[in-house]
Formats: sequence, C-alpha cells, structure tokens
Amino acid sequence: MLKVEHLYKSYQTGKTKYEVLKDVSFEVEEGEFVAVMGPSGSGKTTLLNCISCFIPYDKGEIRLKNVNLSALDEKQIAKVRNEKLGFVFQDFMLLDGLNIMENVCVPKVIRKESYKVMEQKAKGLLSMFGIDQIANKFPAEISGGQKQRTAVARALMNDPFLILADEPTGNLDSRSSEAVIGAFLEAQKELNATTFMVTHDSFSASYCDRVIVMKDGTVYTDLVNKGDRKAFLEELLDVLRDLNGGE
Amino acid sequence: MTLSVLWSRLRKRNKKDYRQFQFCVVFAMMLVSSYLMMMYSPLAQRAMPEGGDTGKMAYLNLGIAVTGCTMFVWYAIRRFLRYKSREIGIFMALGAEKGMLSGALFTEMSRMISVYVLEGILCGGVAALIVGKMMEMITEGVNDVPFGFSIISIVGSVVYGLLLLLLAIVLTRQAMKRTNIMDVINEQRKQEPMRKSVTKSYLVSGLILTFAGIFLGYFLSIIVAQAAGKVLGGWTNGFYLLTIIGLYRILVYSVSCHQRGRNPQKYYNNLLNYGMLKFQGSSIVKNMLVITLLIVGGLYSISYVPSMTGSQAATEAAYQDDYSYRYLNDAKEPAKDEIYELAKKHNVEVENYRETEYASIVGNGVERNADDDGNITEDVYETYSEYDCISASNYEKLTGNKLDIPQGGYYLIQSKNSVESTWFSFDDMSALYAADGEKMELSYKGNTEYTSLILTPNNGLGKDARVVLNDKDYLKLSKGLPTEKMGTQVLFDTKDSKNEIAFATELYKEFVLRMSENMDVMEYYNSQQKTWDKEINEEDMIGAIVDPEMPAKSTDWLYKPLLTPLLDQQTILGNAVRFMMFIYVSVICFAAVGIIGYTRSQDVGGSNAQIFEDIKKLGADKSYRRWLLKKQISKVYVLSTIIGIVVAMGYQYMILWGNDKVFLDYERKIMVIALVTSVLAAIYQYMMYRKSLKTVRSTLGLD
Repeated sequence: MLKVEHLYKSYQTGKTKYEVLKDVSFEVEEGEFVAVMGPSGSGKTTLLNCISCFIPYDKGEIRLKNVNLSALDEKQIAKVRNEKLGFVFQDFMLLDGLNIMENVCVPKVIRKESYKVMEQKAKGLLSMFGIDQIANKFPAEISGGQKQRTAVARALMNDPFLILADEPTGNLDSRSSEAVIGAFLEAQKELNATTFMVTHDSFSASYCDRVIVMKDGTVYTDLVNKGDRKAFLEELLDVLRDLNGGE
Repeated sequence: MTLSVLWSRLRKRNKKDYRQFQFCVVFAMMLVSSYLMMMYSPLAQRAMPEGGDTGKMAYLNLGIAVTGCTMFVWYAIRRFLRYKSREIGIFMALGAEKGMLSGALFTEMSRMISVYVLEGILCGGVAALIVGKMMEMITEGVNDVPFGFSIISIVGSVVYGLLLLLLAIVLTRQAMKRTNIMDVINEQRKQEPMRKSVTKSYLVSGLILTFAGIFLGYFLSIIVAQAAGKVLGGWTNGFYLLTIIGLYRILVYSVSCHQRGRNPQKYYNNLLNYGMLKFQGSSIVKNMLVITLLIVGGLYSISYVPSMTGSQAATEAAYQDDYSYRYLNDAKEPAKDEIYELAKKHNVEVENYRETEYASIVGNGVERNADDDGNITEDVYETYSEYDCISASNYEKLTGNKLDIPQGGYYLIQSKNSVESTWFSFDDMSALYAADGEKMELSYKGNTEYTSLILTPNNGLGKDARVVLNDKDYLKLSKGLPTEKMGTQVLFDTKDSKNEIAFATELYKEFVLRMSENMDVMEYYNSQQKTWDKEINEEDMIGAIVDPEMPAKSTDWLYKPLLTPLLDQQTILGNAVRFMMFIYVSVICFAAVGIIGYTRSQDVGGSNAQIFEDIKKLGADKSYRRWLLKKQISKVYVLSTIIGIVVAMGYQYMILWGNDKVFLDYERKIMVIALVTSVLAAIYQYMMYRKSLKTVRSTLGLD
C-alpha cells in the first residue's frame, strides 16, 4: 500500500543544515493500522508531512499503491490528497460554519460529487461512528471526541487508500481518545481501511498492528503487535524508556 | 519592566494591527469632519437656503455618511479588540489582575482614539480647505462668499469624535467582561458567526422594512399633508432607519440562509463557500451594509447634478421666448427702440418683439401654514397680495392664445404640468379690488399655459399668481391705478448669434441699473402682507440682492428678468458650489466604499487563511481554492453594489415621480444618467474587486 524508501529530508536555517529524516524506509500493508512514535524532534511529523505531500523531501521515494508521489504535479497531488488519502489532524480542522453532516461531506464537495452519493455515504459513516445523532450540530456544540470521530468519518468519505492521522488523540482526554481509536479500528474492521498515525500516546499506539519508533530522523525500531494489547503496551513503554535513556 | 512597558513593546512589534486601526478611525473621522466643514462653510451655506431641497439632500447624505462611518469604526474597534484579546488573555493566565488590564486597555484605547480623532479632524480640515479653495476659485465670478471653517462644523466634528470614543469605551467594556481566560485567548481566532436560525422570514421582513422605511420616510408626510392637512415635520426621516434595518436583514439572509432546498447539488457544490461566509457572517454583513449605504449616498449625491441641470434644461426648453421680463411703469427701463439699438450694437437681430401692459391689483387669497402641532391652517385674507393682471386681448397679443373669458371669471397663467400642492390651490383668489376699493367677485375658470410668463419662484402661484381677466373687468379694475401699479411685460426672441450672451449681459445690466425704487425688493416681498401679518417687517424684504455686472451670480429679486442666453451660465455657475459639494460627497463616499471593500477583502483572506490551508490538505487544488476565494471576495462587493444601486435608482425614481406624480421627458433622461452613473459605480466596484482579489490571492499564495 505505502512504501517509503531511503527518504531524506533536511531544513536549512541560515548556513546551518538540519537533517530531519535520514534514510527512512518502511512499508505499510493494506488494512494495517500503523503508528509512528518517538521523542520530539525525531522526525515523525516531518515524515507524515512528506507522505501527505505537504512538504517536499530531498531524496528517496514514497510510493502509494505503486504511484511515486514525488513525480506528481500540484494538480495530481491535490487529487491524491482528495481521493487516495484521508486526513485526521490533532486540532480536528473542522469548518465551524458547517454542521457535522456537512463537514463529513467536504471531501466529496471538493470532488464535486453527486449529492445523493455524498449524503448516502456520509449518513453511513455517521452511523458507523455513532455520531448520527449530532449530524445537525455545529463543531462548537460537540465534544472533542465527537469532533475527532467526525474528522475520522470525513477522512473516510472518499474511500482513501490510506488515512494519515497526526496526533489524533493529542487534544483529547483518555475516554475520548479511546473512542477515536475505536473509530480507527472500526474503519479497519468494516472497511479494511489502512491507517498511518503519528502519536505520543503509548496507550493509543498499543491498539495498532505495528509501531514504528523513530529517533533522530531514523527508524529506531519497528514493533509488531502479536495480539496481546497489554503486553504490546509494556513492550512499547520499555522501548520508549530505552529511547529516553532509561528514565 | 512594567506592564505598560510590555504593552508598548507589543505595540511596537505589532505595528500592522495598530496602523490598520489608526487608518480606519482617522479615515472615518476625516470623512465626517470634512463633510461637516464643507457643509457648514459659509460658501456652501450660501448655496443651500434653509428648508430647501438641497439642504435636505445634504443632511440626508450626512446621515448616511455618519451611519456608514460609525459602523466602519465599530468594525475596526471590534477587530482591534479581538487582536488585543490574545495578549490580554495571556496576561490574565499569567496572573495579571483583570482590573489592572482593563485600566491599561481603557487608557490605551482612549489615548489612541483621541489622537486618531484629532488626526482625522486635521485631515478633514485640510481636505475641506483644499476643496473649498478650489470651489472659491472656480466660482470666483459668481460668488463673493469665501470658504471658511464654521464653529458648528468643528464642534460637530469634536462631538462625533467623542461619540467614537464612547463607542470604543462601550465595546472595550464589553470585551473585558469575559471571565473565561480561554475564551479571551481564543477570541482572536474566533470569527463572528451569524445566528443560525435565519429563515426566509428574515428576507421577507427585510424587504418589508426596506420598502416601509422608504415609503414612510418619503411619502407619509406628503400623504398626511394632503389627506389630513397636517405637516408631520422632519421626524418622519427617522423612518429611514427602518430601511437600514431592512437592508441589514436582507444582507444577513443572503449570507447565512442557504438551504438544501430544491437544488441540493448546487447547495453542496457551494457548501464550503456558504459555511465560510456564515462563520464570519456578522462582521461581513456589517461591512456589506456600510458599503451599500455609502453607494446609495454616493449615487444619490452625484444624481443632484443631472437632476438640477436636467430640470433647468427642461424648463428652458419649455420657454416660448428667449427674453421675458416685466417692470413697473415708474421705472425707466429700456424701451423697444432702445432694445433694438442695443441689439444692433451687438450685431443681434431682435424678432417677434411684443410688449403689453399689466396691472398690479390687490386681491384676496389664502395663506396656508403649519401650526405648532403640524396642522395645516388656512386663512383667507381679503387683501392678500397684488396680482399681475392682464386683459384677455393683451394676453392674446402677447402669446397668441385666445381666451374666451366671461365677465367675473379669470384664467391663471401656468407652466405645463403645473400641479396644486399642500400650500397652493389654483382657485385661491376669488376677488380683486379696483383702485376705488370696489370689490369684484371672480371665479377661477382654468389655467392657460405660457411658461415664459412664469418669472417667480412660486411657479406663478400664491402671491405671485398672474391672472388673465375679461377685457371689461380689466378696464374696470385697472382704472385709476397709479403709474407704479401699472407694469409692462416684454417678450421677444433673437436670431441665433454668437453675440447673444454679450447682448443679454448688457441688457441685464441696464435692466438692473434702471429699476425703480418699487422694484427694489426681494423675491418673497408682498406689498400686502403687512395688512394681514402684523409680525412682518417689510424692511427686511426691501433691497434686492442683484449684481448688475454679474448676471450669473445668484440673486434675490422679485423682478429678475428671464434672459435665456444667460440661463446656462446662471444655472451652472450659480449652482457651482452645490454641484461641487455633492460631487465631493460622492467622491468621499466612493473612496470609503473602495477602502472598506479592500480592507474587508484582506480580512477575508487573513481570517480564512487557515481554512484555505485545511482544505488544501483535504485535497482542494489551486483552482478550487481560487474559485472559493473569488466567491468569498465577490460577496463583499456584488450584493452590496447591486442593492446600493437598486435603492439609489429606486429612490431617485420615487423623488422624480413623487414631485408631481408624473414622469416627464427630462426626468426620463435623468434616470438614464442615473443608470450610467450606476454602471460607472459598478465598474469601479469591479475594479476594486479585481484589485482586492489579486492582493488576497497573493497573500494566500494562490497566484
């Protein structure tokens, strides 16, 4: 589904060059729920931004279903973002002037799809994530968890190849976080959705099939969930402790 | 390090917000103060007689300008306070006392507004001085009143400045009332969403209020005066506020009421546009309303020039003769041979010369006034006025119109399309008195049209009525009248000649210099008024205001001759101050429209930058985002321009029709000119829209 090969990314500040990603390579299979963790500055958000085509990268290749994203022009990239990728952001990025139903419809609105298809799909997703009761409410009137589930529904609107989630539980309490992770799992189960999530939250990451741990711009380790979530959480915490120098 | 030091450092580093705020307040203040200074300058006041239509128009425009500018400043203050709220919220979160912060903010706000108000008054003064001096130069030949600053305009400007200060204090107080720190911090990011429950009833009530305001503001006083004989007074202008509320509701509807309705596909295609508009609705609607009002004000002001010249041209076209004047026979005015001689001197050929005698005969009449309660009173006075009376045969000799008038009857000389009004009826006179005091009862038989014989401002009604009598009646009534009560009416034409103006100018001079003492009176002089109005001081009306050397200069003279070759000059130069003032008002209105539209567009870009970024992440390509931006910016311009033009055109139509309930040829031409100016206004708005769009595109990286 997603293949990242020998990815390099650096930033130039004055005469100083900062290497943020250094030879990052990994793959994500279809239907997988993968998390990326690591300390601040490890390059995980930069990695997500490169995959999202929000920022260019220096070297390497990102292939989404065998399509090399770096070879696309701006219009094609917009099309990929709209049709092949779904986004979930830490601060939800819902449009405050639209109600929940309308917010979910946005990706199809941009695609100028028929309203019948749009409404049918949105209703199905709202129902799947248990937010159909608040379909006519506005973002200011609902909780953070409900906002993020709305964002997940929106991300799935165009049946994307891949959902990219940037700290989706970062602004939520534990109960809401659980509900949002539940939404990703539901999407995986019902729609065979593939999710690539950047997170700081080990508890949320423990629900994933795999966790890629990054350090100083490189892949530090790639952990696979063998089915026991609690054991996987312990394993994750151990790795993170090692990463932080055993604190 | 104190709070005020931190505050001033923040000010230094956030110059852009401060400058924008300063610009908005100074600009609004400058517009209002320069308008006040122009309007209340002796130069403009001389051109706007008290109670005249010009004055009413100027006050209406002032009302529009003040309303528009106040709303603009309101928006600027709210915007500035939103920017400040983040700083305040962070200070509060770090433990600063709210009272201390409030004090500091009040002080800063008061200091800034005071300085900006002074700057605005100063700029307004400079602008008014430049335009005033230009007016002075242009009207040098016809105007001897210089431009100057009146106390009232300066006091008015200061009062308006204080009003802005008060507004700032109230809004600051409101802003500081919030106690939730997160709300305060997030205020800057918050937009001003429109209330969600806007339905079609909002549009319907908006339309009703708009029309009701115009109807009640304009027609109510006319209808009540005609139907109930009561003058309602200037308070009826307050109904125009309903129009402003109505327009606001229409604009609110246009911004926030979008429903799935019968065309769901269209609804969904525009979903993002609707959502963004709705979310910044409150402030965008205020801006749209200000733009609408200023467009109405600008177009209404500029319409004064064609209205005035158009009406003058129509009157001019209705004159049957090139020259028409009357004089009392005790004056040594140029006789026929002198006229011919003067014409010869100027190589002008006089044609169709006619003159005939008329008599100034005392008669009864009706004086109508409004009492303190606004009721129209009618008082019949036996010796109301001296009317110009002509015998039927002399009238025929003069005009070619043969009238068959029975004894005891009379015709009123009127212009085409003349109508009765609240103040005058055609049959107000029902008796005349012979020189020996014998009363002759007369009855009104109708009007006879001859526009060249209408020489007074009351259009030949009331005290200035000119009547045609049966020959026998005329003889009986005029017998024994002294020379100064007998007059001569002269009519003639000239063959087209390039020297006509020189001839007319010299004739004018001669005519003025040779008037008799009895002719040296102002327009509203009525020799009989002292018999029924004990309060009148006749001396006030004696001494005509007329300059023999300057025929184009405005006059106040009952015997002003009608010399058509001089009319254009008299109309254009005599009204130059008024023309320029209204053009000036129009220019400042449109300048304000441009600046407000442009500023608002920048705000649309700025406040929606994050949304544009978000939808980019959701896959909206550049062309989609450009389309969306276009929709957002066009909202600022399109509807407000259309409504402004429609209201201005509608109001213009209503005034032209409402004056006399008919729509004359020249009035049609005025409407065509109004349409052309509206098209120009629309082009101007389109250019501003393009400019705004270009700038915002560049800001958002959508080039």
